[in-house]
Amino acid sequence: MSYSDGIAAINLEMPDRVPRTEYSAALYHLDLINAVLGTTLTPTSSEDDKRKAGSEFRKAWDYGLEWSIDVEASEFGEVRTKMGHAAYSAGNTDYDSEIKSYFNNVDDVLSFDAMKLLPSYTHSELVKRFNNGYASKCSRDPDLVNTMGTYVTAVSALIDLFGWELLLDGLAEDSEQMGKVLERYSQWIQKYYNAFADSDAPVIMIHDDIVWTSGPFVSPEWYRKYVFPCYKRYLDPLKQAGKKVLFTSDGTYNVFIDDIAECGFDGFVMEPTTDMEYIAQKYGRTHSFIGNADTRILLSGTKEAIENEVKRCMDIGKKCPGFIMAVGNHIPANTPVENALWYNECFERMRKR
Amino acid sequence: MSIINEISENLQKGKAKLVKEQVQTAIDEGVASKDILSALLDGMNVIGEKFKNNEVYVPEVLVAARAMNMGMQVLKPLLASDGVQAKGKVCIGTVQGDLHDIGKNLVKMMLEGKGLEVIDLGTDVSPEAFVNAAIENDCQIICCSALLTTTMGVMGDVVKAAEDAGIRDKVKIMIGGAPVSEEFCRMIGADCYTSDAASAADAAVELCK
Repeated sequence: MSYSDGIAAINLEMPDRVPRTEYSAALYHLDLINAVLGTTLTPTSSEDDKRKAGSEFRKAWDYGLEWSIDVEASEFGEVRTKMGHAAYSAGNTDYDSEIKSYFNNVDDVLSFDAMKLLPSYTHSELVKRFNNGYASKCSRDPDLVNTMGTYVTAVSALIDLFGWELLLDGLAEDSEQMGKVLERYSQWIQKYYNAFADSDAPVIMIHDDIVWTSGPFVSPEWYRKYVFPCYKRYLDPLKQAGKKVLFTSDGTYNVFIDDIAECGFDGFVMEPTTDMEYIAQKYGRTHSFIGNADTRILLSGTKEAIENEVKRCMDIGKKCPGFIMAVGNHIPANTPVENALWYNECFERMRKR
Repeated sequence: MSIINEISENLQKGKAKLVKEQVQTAIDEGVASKDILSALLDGMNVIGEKFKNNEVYVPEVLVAARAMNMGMQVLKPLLASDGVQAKGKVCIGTVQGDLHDIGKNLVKMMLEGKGLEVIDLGTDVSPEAFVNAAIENDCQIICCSALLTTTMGVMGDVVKAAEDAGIRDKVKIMIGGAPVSEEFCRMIGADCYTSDAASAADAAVELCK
């Protein structure tokens, strides 16, 4: 049922039930997984046990889609900036205070040429890699839509390459030159999209953290001149191959919703601060969209507040053929188990069309 | 254009080296330190208002703040000898377990742009470290930043640590960051939540009065 609901939504075929996905819960919220499955996972459980339990959790919670990408900063090797990693997972096992950069100064950043410094793969190598990856995901979770995609698409790439400080310095010093840096990067990553186009995966997830919660961090004109043209180039082979392409950004991208639609994306994935109602009203018949219950309400809200939040999302999305419910941007390990369970109960009660 | 106006204009353009030179020139010409300070603060004020109105964005604020810092490097000793004091003292940091600092750094720039003295505690700051810094530096405000729902809870621990240390009535606690909200601020008993760096600076000035 889960896969058919998920793919029906992606294809705008209005499944009988609103499908859902969630982020982080199946990977990091061990207490929730244990409560749902009756397992006894701990932070020191084996990765294999955690992986298997994660799959069972997705099944138990009837995920119609699993948000997943395959091209992230590890692709850059040493040519990147490590900014550390805040405590997120159960037991804070992912905390990492290492901070270092390949780049020394703004001149290094503005002269960066991805085509010369980042590793290169042939088309067939990438297609093989992506098909193997897709097969692996489908083997792990056969009954949901598995996505393939990129994390370090454009802006996220600049963040991971240079770190925030050098990125902002570069934009301040010479935004046009930074735009050219991005263009060179986009030439490098284009081959990944060409390979996705020839891969078996039907749904491609393009992640790019383009904004903050407060909105764009650089002039919108810069995005329109440099970022969105990259997206159009990336999507070209994907669309020609008949792939469905979804866009994800954290933060508040209201000012860019129409730009993103114009790039050719088939769907939107968003956090609570991005206007899902606007997306539903303007694009609800033509695009899928995933979101956007507020994780903070699960964190500390009452049962009534949680129920109202599910209702809010359902009121917006249930009438739209491509709506997929999710908590934005995650259900992390510190979400009270009883709240997460109640959220699921409300979702199950309200999802039937 | 007077040297004072030029300092403000060049700060707004992010011309750090020029601002530093012009502050020195102004000092050499006998301009009162408080007037030079006003020029720097006026420039940052303009940038702050433009930032609030989405006329400039983070990179422009960053370079303007750098220009201000360069000017202040030259001006600070003179301000001290002239007895010109900061409008207030703030200690700021990203809470324990969290390493995100760009938002915190932006708030720090805006606070300094309002004439506040800021003690930057960095990232991964324990509640005790916030409180100790506030006591040691006689701060009126503790500013806490967090970017994740998994770390924002530490802000409540900072409030509790301030209560336990007996300084809660002497120190205001401001919070901010992507997952933080007005409701959360009320829930943990903090004094002030702001959604952006420019508003944070305005609020901090008011709290220091």
